[in-house]
Parts: sequence; structure tokens; C-alpha cells
Amino acid sequence: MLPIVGILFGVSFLLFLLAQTSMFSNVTGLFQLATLPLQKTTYSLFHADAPASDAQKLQTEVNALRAQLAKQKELEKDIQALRDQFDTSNSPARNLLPASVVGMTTFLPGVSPAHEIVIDRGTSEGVKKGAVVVSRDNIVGNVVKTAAHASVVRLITHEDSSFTAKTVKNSVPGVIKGNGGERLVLDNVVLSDTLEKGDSVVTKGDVSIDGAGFPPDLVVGQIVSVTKKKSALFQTADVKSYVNFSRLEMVFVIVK
Amino acid sequence: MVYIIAILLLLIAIFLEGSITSLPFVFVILLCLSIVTRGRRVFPIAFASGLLLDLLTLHPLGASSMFFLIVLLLVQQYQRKYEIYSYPFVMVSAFLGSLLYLWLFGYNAVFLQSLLSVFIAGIVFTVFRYIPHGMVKLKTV
Repeated sequence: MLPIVGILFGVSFLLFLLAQTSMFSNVTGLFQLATLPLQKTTYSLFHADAPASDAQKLQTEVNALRAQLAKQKELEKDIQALRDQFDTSNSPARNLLPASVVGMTTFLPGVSPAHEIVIDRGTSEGVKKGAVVVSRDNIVGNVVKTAAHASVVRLITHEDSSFTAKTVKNSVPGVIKGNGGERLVLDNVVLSDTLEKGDSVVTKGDVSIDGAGFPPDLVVGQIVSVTKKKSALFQTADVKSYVNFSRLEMVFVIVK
Repeated sequence: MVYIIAILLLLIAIFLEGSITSLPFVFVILLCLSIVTRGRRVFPIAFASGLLLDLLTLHPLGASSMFFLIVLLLVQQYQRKYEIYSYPFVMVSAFLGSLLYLWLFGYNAVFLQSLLSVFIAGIVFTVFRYIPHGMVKLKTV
């Protein structure tokens, strides 16, 4: 028994070491091409949309309109800034790569909140670590692991996720943090700033010189409650995303 | 016969773990198979299952295989001194193994998932016990 186990363990360890380099990416990519359709079918079977009630349809439409409104307000601000300064700023064009969600591993599917998803796009399609993933101008998360034909996306609700953001009405800056549940927290907002319930939140933009980071003006969600204590250093707000992460089927990866 | 059923269950479990849930079905099935059969054939099955699971979950290739092999070897070494063909052993080893696996691979709700794994292990062990596996008759507990 020990020789067999020893050989198999040695092979596993060798594969583990080789997988840290890019030597196996082509081989694993071929396997992923074969397994992705099955993976996607399995995911679709358990995430098939139930016929939506009228109330659910209306809620979906309302969420989409709120996201559009937040985006429009940001565009109006940009237009005004351009008019004021006669500046022809060239914001970098965003190439959007469509990707299907093929995996969403949660404790109890449909009950537990998701924190990571697997998409069917990888390095061979131009996806890199750190790439931002969106759904209809709403930020979904960023890529944390890549393979030849698949990638793992960490959702913004993940407890390790954080990025700078601002409110739409008053451009109040803060930091959006995932809390491991379904909600987000807008933290590090100074007490002198005004946060309003119902206000939308967008990304502030913290793109580094090599293009990594979250681009500006991506919709994060809507403020549902504000916590302001005079004894605290900062005030916080609960933010609800317009995206129903548990129902994601198609997303877009921002690639350069 | 038990190996055929176990492989079919493993294939289903691998795709479930790769797509919709983080519950360690694959580990539980391998553990129960190892305890019921006490054979060496479980090791190549564990090796292959680990590789396939790593491909679907994008874990480092070989990581799951190494974990499964080490745990199954420990389980089979343990049987030399103690009787492992029993529900208490299955449940304790499922709980501890799942706890370690889920923690190592960075999953959430580790404790709750490990508790649920105990329940799943009980069911799988019961199923495997009553499938002919062509080994020496084992006394039931």
C-alpha cells in the first residue's frame, strides 16, 4: 500500500509544483474545454430562473432604472466638468469580454450568499488577475485566479473585498467593504459628510499606472441605512447592490 | 460493484462541488469507500478525483489529490489498531477531515459544513455497507 500511495503522492506533488509555472496551462486548458460545458449545465440546472412574479419583474426593472439613473448623473457631472474646462479628457476605452457563469460554490446553493463565481473565460481569452467584472454597468467583482479557459471572480460581497467609492448626490468618498453576507458597507466616511438613504454609490476609481484596480463610475448599489455615532471616528452606511448575485448567468470582464 | 457505484457518485460529486456547492462530497465518498473496502484501489481513484476536482474548482493542480491520499492513508493505517468499520469512526473522521479540507482551501462556514458532512458520511456509509464489494465478510457494528 505504501509504495502505491508514495508514487501517487509524488506525482501529485510534482503536478502541484509544475502547475505553479505555466507549463501545464495548455494541457489543463484542454481538460477545461471538455469539462466547461458539463459544468455550465450543472450550474444552469440549479440556477434556473423560476417564473418571475409581476412584483419581481417590477423590482428587477426598478433596479435597472436606478442603476441607469446613477450612471446618468455621473455622466452629467462629467459633461459639466468638460464644459467648464473645455477639456477633452480621453477616458480609456473599455473592452468588454462576455463570460458565462459556470460555477458558484456556496454552502447551501440558493440559500447561502455567494462570494466567488467561476466564469468560462481565462488567460487564453485575455483575462488577467485583477480584471474587473461587471454586469450592466454594475460592479460584480474582480478576477483572483485564472486558468487557460476559466477564472475565479471574487464578488464585492466577499469579506476580503474593498475598494474606494463615492455617493452620486454629494460625491462623498468612502471605502466599500464586503461583510461576507449579502450587503456591503460604505465605511471610512467622515462625520462631517452627509450620507442619504436611497442615494446611489459608484466606484471612485483607483486604477494604478499599469491599469490594475477598479475603474471609476461603476455602479455599486444603493444606500439602505446610515449609521452615524458622534463618538465614532467615521460614519458607515449599508449598501445593497442592484445585482442579484445568486442569479448571475452572464457577466462581462473589462479587458484592455 | 461498490467501486462502480462509488465512481459514478464521485463523478456527480465532482461536478456538484465544481459548480454549485462547497460541501466536500468527494472527500466524504472517498472516505467511506476507503473504510468499507479497505483496499488499495481507493488510492488511484482518490488521485484521479482530486485532479479532476482541482481542474473544475481552479485549485492548484494536485493539491486535492495530495490531501485525499494523506487522509486515506492515515485512515487505513489507523485500522491496524482500531476498528474503523463503525459509524462513530466514520463520523469523527468525516468531521475532522472536512474541517481540515475546508479550512485549507479557504472556504466559508467551515464548522457548519463539516457538521453537514458528518450527516452525508453517515448516509454514504450506510449505502456502501449494503453493496457487495467482494471482500472478506466484515463484522457489522
